[in-house]
Amino acid sequence: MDILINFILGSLSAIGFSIITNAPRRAAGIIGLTGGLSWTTFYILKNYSHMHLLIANFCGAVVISALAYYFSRKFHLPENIISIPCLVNLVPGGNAYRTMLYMVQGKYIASLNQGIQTFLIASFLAIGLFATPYMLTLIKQGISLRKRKIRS
Amino acid sequence: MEKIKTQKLSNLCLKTAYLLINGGAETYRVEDTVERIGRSLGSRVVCYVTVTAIFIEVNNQNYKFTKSVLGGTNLQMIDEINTMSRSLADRTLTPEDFTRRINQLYRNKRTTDFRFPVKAIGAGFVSMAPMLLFQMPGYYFIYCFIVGVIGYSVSYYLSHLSMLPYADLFISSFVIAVLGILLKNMGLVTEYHDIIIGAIMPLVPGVAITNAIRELVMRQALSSMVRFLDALLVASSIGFGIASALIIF
Repeated sequence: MDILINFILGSLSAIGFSIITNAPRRAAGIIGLTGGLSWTTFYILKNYSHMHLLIANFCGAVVISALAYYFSRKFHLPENIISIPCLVNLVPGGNAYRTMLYMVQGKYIASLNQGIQTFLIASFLAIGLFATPYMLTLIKQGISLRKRKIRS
Repeated sequence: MEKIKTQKLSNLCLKTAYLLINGGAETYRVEDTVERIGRSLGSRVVCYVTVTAIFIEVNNQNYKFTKSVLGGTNLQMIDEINTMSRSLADRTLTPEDFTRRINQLYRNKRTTDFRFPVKAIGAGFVSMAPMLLFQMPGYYFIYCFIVGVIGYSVSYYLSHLSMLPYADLFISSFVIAVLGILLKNMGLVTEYHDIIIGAIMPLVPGVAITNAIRELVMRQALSSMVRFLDALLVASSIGFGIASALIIF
């Protein structure tokens, strides 16, 4: 049940951000599906399998990039139209806010703690975002190499 | 296929690249699209784009460059030009039609857009961030929605009134933090931090962050750094807006 609520909220917030950035109307359904699925992946990995937070973020970003890769080729959309609104769900807004809050309250050690965590989450999101295209190019290159070897 | 004149082609490419950059496309995609347009019109076009400048060279005889400004997001524009260049390569769109439509887009500088109330409601949905789902009771989401809509409206109107880049974000995040503290003082909520976190989500520089990552991966380090700096400045102006509200009240 709570997974369903998570899915709906994730899709709603992705579609909301796509409205703000004026994405094309025909992409709204795709963006909702991708945003909901990526957020649900992150949520399940974080709460049910007790994985490390960074790995959960990484997997969410991998889901975004894989779905964006597939849908952009199927529906002839630019890839970043799909990935921009979906990434907003995973952005570590809470950690960034707490960095600022502790800095204002004078707890500099706690602030530094949260800041480093924000940076780590952001970099793992970045790694996840380009993991799928990289893997796919590796696989494609491998297949073409093998074909060439067979032919020669 | 008939060739169009070099002079005309370089103008066309310059306008296309300018529109794409203003829509918020990655630089490598802009270079790719412009060079593909040149190829499908039978000329050799070399294009180099940083986020703030566009250089174009056609057939080794015509060189042009123009300035562009950072910021501004219109994903509809990217999609439209992408579809047009695709159908130009398929030869379902004639070069004259393509030129006319690009000129039209360049003159208006805008495409079909959502109306403001729709955008405000979208911002409200973004504010109901799913990361807060089990940190706070359900009725908090209604306050998140309202505060998010107000914060986004303030930033929207201020960015239309003045061209000063980061001030609108500072003021709107200040307003959001003040509203959160006000809700707590009225006794409606006990934890106002979660409401502030939700309500600043529509102001997050999502386009800049995503494009910066994608450009960094494609070895476009220069424009990637420009975008990273922009994202950092936006984030810190939001942060300082909230911080000043927290210090004052």
